[in-house]
Amino acid sequence: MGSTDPRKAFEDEFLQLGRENKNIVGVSCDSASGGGLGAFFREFPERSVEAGISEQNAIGISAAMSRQGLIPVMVVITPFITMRAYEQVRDDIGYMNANVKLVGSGGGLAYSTLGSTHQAVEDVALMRTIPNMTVLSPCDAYDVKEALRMAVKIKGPVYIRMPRQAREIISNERNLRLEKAEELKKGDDLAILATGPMVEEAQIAAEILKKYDIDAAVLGYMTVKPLDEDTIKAYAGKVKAFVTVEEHSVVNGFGTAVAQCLAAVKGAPPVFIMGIPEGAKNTGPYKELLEYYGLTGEKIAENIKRIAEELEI
Amino acid sequence: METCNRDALECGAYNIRKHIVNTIVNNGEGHGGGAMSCSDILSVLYLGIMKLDKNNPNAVGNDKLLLSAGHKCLALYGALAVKGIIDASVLDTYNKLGSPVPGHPDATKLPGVEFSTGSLGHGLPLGCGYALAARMKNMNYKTYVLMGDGEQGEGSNWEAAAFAAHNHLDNLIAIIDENGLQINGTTAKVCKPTSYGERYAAFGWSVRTVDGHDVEELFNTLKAVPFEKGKPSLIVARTRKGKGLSFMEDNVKYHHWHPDEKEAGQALEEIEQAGKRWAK
Repeated sequence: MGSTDPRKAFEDEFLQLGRENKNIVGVSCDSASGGGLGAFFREFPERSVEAGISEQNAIGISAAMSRQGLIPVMVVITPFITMRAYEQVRDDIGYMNANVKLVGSGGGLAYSTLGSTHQAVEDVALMRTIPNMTVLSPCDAYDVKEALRMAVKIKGPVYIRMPRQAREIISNERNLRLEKAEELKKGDDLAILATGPMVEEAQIAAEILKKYDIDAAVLGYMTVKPLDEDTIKAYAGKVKAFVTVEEHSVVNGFGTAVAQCLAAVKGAPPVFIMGIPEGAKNTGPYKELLEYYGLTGEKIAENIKRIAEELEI
Repeated sequence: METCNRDALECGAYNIRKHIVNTIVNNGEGHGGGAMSCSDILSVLYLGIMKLDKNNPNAVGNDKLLLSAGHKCLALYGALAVKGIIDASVLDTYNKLGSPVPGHPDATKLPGVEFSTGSLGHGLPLGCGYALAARMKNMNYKTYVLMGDGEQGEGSNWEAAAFAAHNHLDNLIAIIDENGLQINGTTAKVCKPTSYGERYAAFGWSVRTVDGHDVEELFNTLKAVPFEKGKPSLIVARTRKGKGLSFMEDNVKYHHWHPDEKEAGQALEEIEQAGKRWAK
């Protein structure tokens, strides 16, 4: 399979989509080259908008262009697109159901060394609260292409949380579907529900857990919102625990959405939310930082083993 | 309108103010001061300047108006009624449960409204988007953004001001309803280090200042856009907050008006007197 740079995958797919659909517009806030808009900007300068470092303005521009039939795809480093301009996203895109695609470049801990201003571990919580917003969190380069293509097909606002680090592509023969969890491994003891790059880590964890005779299912959730609740409910009847894993704050992210679903299921098994503690802002090399927060396959397996022992699974 | 019909535009402004006053008196509250200050501007835009299909008021090819200071919505509702885009009877539902005419305009509920505004500093970025879309799609509609003076404090306006000038959006026309007042006092007292005209000119806009209650001056100025090819145009319209009601004019306490019985009676009387000019 090999590993591929997700930004390169984005750049290639966005160029291809631009060739297929002349209503697509690229919007940059001094982020074109770093965000994967470069090839599109070179081939379609007439459909390229460089707003400069002005996210609030660029959201307004994108929202208005969408009302005229254009499909703006705006790519900006994650905290700036999801947080600095949050009210513009809510008012001008969310409530207006504007056909704008927001791409957060470098979600989660992607900018691991750059500190709390550039890490983005609250973005999913914020974006899933926006009315009408679809939230997609791809894992690898394959997912990124699929997510972008799906986003353009949706008539309404979409947020794509871009991974940044190259990682092993899970498979090139998958059938990713919008709004549907991907059952990557079946299992009867417990289910690991993961989103974004944690999908790969969850698969590593499930492999490790086999050694301890723990049969863990792995469900990939590229679509965080709307959440595929049917799959969760189906598993609620057969596993003894749910574990959610996200490269995001444990507050109000993917795990919270899963827990909210399970709260309404009679006799549902417990759910354990793995992620980043509120306010944590450690820095360092990406892999080491994941390990620090317990978000590598090995660490996830270790923690699940402890949970399984407590629950006597 | 090819040449200015002063009487028609003044009559339009009068009817907008009449809708504002009646609606606030009937409902008991509303953002009166700013709505009254921009009534002449909206009359000139809707009755004299803007090209729009009133049967399809949100059509892609129509001229656009963004009411950036959304709290002045009663003036917009009045203008839409005067233009015949909405039925004036809808104003009877103002602020009632589920009303299409709430205290800030909701584009998903009322025809003729482009965006739901109310949070300040959104209009100019949106205006840039419409102006840019016109260029991309080779369309010749114009985009008008009506802003308040107090809302110039929002930084997003200055992001958009730079963008519009940098991109030579001469199909974008911003109007500042400069009534000189905001909630906490005069704009001069709150935060106004230099004039708005100087600031926009420094950003690369072409600027003119007019009497915002002189419909003929407004009409002729709006007909002259773009003032300079390749530059966005700004009209600084000097106005009086609460224009049209003697006790309200230039009085800071009428930003949001809760008329008591005496004020309500006086307001209705003054409006009736002003309307005699057009009574048959």
